[in-house]
Amino acid sequence: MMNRRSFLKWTGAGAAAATLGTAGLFQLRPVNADELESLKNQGIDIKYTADVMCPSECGLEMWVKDGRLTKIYGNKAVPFNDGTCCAKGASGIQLVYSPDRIKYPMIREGERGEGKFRKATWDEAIDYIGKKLTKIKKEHGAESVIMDAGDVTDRDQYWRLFFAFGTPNVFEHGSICDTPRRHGPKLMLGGKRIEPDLMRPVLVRQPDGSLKKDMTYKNKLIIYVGWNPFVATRINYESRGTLAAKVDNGCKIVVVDPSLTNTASQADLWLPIRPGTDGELFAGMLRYILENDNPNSLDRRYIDWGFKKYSEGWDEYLDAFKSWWTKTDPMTNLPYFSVEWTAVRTGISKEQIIELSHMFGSTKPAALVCGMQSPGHHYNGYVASILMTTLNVITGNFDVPGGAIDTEITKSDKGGSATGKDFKKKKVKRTVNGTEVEGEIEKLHMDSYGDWPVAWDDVIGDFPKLFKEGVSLKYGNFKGYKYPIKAYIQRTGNAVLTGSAPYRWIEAITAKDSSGEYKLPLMVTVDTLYLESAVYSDVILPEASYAERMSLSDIYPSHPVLYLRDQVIKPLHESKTPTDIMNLLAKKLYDLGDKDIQPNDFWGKYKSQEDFVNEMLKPAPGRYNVGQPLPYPKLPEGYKLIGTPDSLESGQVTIDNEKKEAKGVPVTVEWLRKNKGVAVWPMSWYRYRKSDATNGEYVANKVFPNTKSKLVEFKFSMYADLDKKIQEGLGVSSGMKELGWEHLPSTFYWFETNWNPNTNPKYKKYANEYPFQLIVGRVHQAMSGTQMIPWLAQTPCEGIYMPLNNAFEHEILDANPAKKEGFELKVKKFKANTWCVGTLLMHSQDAAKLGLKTGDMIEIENPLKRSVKSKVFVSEGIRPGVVKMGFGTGGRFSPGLGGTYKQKDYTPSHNMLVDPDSLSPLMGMPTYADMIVKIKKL
Amino acid sequence: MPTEKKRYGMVIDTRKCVGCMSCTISCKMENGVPFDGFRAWVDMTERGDFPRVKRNFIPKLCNHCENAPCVTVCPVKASYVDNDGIVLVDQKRCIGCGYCIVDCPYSARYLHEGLKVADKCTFCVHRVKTGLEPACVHNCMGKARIFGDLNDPLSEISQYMTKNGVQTLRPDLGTNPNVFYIDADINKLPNKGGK
Amino acid sequence: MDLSIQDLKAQTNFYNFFSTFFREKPSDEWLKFALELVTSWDETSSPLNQQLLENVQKSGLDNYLNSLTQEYERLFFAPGHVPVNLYESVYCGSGLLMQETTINVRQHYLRAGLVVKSLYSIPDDHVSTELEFMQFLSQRILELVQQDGVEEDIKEIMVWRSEFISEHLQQWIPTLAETMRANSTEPFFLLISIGLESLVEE
Repeated sequence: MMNRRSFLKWTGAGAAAATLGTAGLFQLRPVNADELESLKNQGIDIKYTADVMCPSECGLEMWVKDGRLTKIYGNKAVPFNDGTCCAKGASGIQLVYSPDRIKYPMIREGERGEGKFRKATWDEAIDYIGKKLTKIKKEHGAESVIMDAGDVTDRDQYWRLFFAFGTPNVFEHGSICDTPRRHGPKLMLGGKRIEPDLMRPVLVRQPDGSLKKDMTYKNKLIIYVGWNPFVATRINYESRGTLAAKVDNGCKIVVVDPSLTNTASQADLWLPIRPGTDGELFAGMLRYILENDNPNSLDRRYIDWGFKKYSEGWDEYLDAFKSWWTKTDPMTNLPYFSVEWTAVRTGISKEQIIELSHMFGSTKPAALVCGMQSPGHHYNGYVASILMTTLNVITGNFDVPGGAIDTEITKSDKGGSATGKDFKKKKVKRTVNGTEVEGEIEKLHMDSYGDWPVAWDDVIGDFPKLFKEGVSLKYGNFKGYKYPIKAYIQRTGNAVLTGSAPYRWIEAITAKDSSGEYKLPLMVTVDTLYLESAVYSDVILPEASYAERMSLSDIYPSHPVLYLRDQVIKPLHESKTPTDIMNLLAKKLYDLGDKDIQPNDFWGKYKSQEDFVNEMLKPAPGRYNVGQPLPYPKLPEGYKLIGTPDSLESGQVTIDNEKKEAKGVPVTVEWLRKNKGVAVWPMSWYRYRKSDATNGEYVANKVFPNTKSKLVEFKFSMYADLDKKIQEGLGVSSGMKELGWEHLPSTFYWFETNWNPNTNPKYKKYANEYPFQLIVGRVHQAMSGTQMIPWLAQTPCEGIYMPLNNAFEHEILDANPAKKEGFELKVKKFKANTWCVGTLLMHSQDAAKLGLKTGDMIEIENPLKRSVKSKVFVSEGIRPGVVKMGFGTGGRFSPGLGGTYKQKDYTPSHNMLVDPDSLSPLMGMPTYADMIVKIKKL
Repeated sequence: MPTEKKRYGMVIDTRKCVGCMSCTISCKMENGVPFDGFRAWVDMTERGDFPRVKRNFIPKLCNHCENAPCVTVCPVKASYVDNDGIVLVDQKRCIGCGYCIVDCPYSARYLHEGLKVADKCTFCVHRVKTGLEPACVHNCMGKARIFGDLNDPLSEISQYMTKNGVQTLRPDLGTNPNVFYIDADINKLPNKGGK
Repeated sequence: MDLSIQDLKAQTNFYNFFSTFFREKPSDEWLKFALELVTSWDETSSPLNQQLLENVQKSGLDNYLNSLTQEYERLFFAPGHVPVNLYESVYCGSGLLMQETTINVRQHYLRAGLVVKSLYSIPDDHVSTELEFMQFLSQRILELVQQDGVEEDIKEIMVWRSEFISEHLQQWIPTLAETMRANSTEPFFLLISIGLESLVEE
């Protein structure tokens, strides 16, 4: 063995070593005199930024010392989260400084999925991608390239680049988030996200003209249906707000959910509904309210008929709704929407349904809020979403203090011309069936002019099918045109795991043609973490983490609030910011001769991230001076507001009477930095109405909401416009065919969900063999992306993410007092039951029948003969006949997941059990919550 | 203007706790707590039969008792109470005997694997001395933790306690905790909230 | 530590050698020469040397060099979780990068008038950088001794060097070497790990 004496023996060999060294310094350089002082004594630098550990994007205050991020707190100046910060946000350091993060570009060696990569330089990686994209564009057209900007925001640079490149097929996570849930608010209000009026503080104009931070809660009833804000944290203020309203204002909280979520646990009432029947509940409530409303009774004045002044199409809607009352449902032999029918369908007692309907009708102000899991993940979720919106509007709760606010139409605008959407208007020519056709690039969109003419949020769930079969356009100028998909650029999403069933994705991505080449020649991942989608890519580009780049928050507040995601630390390792990646790739494409990429649209224009963000800030806030109290009494009512809060406040504006705009000084990065990173504009309610002094009443202001008519639409003009496009095309879409529709409906409609033996006759035959409905929900992790963070593996959640691990070994620091810092890296043995793993939550009755106790291993199988293994967690907190898993918690097959990767063989991957062919008929959303399973003990 | 010395305390309003465990993780972030240790945590127990089920969240930490058993039992006087009522451990004096860990009726202490000394919540004394609040209080998602000077009748915490009925854990032991609970139904907790 | 010029030269060269090895993937040419050097560290009859010779004979020199490159990539550059981490803070800090240890290393460099080129982006405690620092210090001492420099100056740099070895290199290089041995059966890498370890022994 070697020792120092023998080392000295090699001194002869030292000369040989000399030839193998490299002269001079490589990583080090002499320090300048002026640098020396500042490097030695660095105080703490405080920066204000926006989180990205989950899409809530809370305002954060980050402490930096010696160029290192050391502490994370909530930013008190941001009303959205008011200084709070959840466990995910607080654990950001373990992501930013993870030794497992992607550090440099990598190029695949071996087959896709083997996980073999070699380190490459940026030049090499960009060259590889640029050359392939150029070739694909020449041979198949730019539209054959998909840009999927994935899971979290800061996507604008990528969208801009690929729009300019010439493809309209540019996506983001929303497609597989919860599109059916957004449907009702979109059709009827032009928005997408109804939330209770719970954001406090709100900035309110006082009668004396001053602005005050109002902390008072006005809610008296909140009903959450299929929504778990305390764990999903997507709307941060619902955590503190829900309970503050309860404690401070006596607000009653009702949670309707098959499982006892943390939100349900703190509610006044938990109604464990049968999965997939929220539409039934809402329909029953609406019928009860319509039949029992009595404007002359104080107790039963359910409906505020004033809503008719601010809406149109109610009579048609009511007729369509009532037309079902006389029909008999074949599943139950009861008339649709009667309380008896609702009771049988939902599994909630008739008395409770009546009580709930009466409560919602008679308590004001109130909000009925439905969430991602339901109806967002159900085949027929649209129905529930439309009914939910209706119920809020007719009871007079829409946009009132303490009521229901559509936060999509109250948030600040951002993006402007930086998003590159105008590139889609460029005209191109294609040959369709021998004829040359001209049209705008956007008319080549694979979904809205292909199989999904209604899907305004795009469709990712059917990518595997399109990778294999190619796109066939059916509508618009280019109808009849076909093109293949030849490149898939995935940025910070993880569609291989989450975009429906992984096996479908893997099959499509690894499929080869007869000459042995991949049918999809190019797959690129741009990310900070090494997730499952990266394992299958050809090139991996390291993107700077959220603390290392600059952009803007994307949040759902009750009034315009916008804050800066400031770059807190320099990009680590060789990672680059989205702006740099955009410019690098743009320059490469330009150098390779792409005429659609111009220097002045990219690196010539955006020399820094700040340039890009400043352009994105130009339209802010872009909301209207409407409602009571009027946000800016000194500015014209109904005009669009643009500019910083202080310039609007001081009247430093130009009024454009033609465009009806009040333009102040544009918000800039510099302005935000001077104001703790955040711009806050005033709140108002009743934003749909204005005062008519002559008649002494309120009338519709025709500015808000954001529908075509600027009124609440019970008759759906969006559908009317889309139907025109469809009727001029090559037949109705497959989704509409599934429903037996020749046209899109003009108003209320009803249809059943998939994989539900209790409500859809098609599935009755499975009821006996597959007795459990499977649902899925969030845990204290951000979906699939953060599961490698050790701290978060210590946050058990609701029976679906529990410390039930098998003993395993993983590298970690362990105590060794002999070492200076007291630690050494070694393989640590994790004892059983100390690390959270995905588990299956099951009711104790069901467990007893199967002879199961908590910790037992089970096998879960669906009618498609797909199965996963899991440990079971037995509890009283779920409806019998229902079982639940957590998103992204199990079966994780990328080594980048650290300790969680070691648990893959006995933890359930929910997506393995999803039916990849069940896509909701209008928006193409994978139906994550529509599934039934059988379970056996292992 | 209070001229007496300070007495720091905390109120945990369990009516506002959402069970997110940000307190647990924010504390780890702030104080570099090792993987197997916890200075703050949340006890969660499921109670009731379907459908009348509740999951109780009881956030816990060191109670910074006025009459702290951990201080009396320490053989080398490493555990002490500072001028503002915060119970601290001088980790240079601590010999890691573990008596205080066993003796604490709230399981608030643990043996730091690396340093081999007793460790526990310090009310983020390093932040408090500069006028900031503990990390768990700042970050709490439910705004369920209120911290401040109990000797100042006008402080937020004093006013909060006046308005709401509070309880402490294991009041029978005479430890006189400075951590108070609202609506934790302590009499129904196993062993009245002790270990 | 005695000040024999020969010793100093050898140390400088060896620090340089290892720093270069860990800095980036070596070329086949470089590996060919390194092979010769590495096999000279142990007796020709030692089991490791025998194994290495066998491997070379079995696959032929070119293929063998290629497999060394692949093994290098696998050990130090795999995406996601890397079998052998090359940053001190992973071994001595909290398992993360850019921690207290890293800053302390930065202070050592500053004391000697040096700073990393990619400040704040790439952690200062990469093994290649730390060894480059040692090479720099040894080179300075060598120059001062050869030029008959001031005794105080030489002593100061020697203190810097021994402090860096005891406060940093000795705290983790042995574990790094062990980790290499735990993750590879290729005798070339085992010999590298042995050499590396001996370099920081006291």
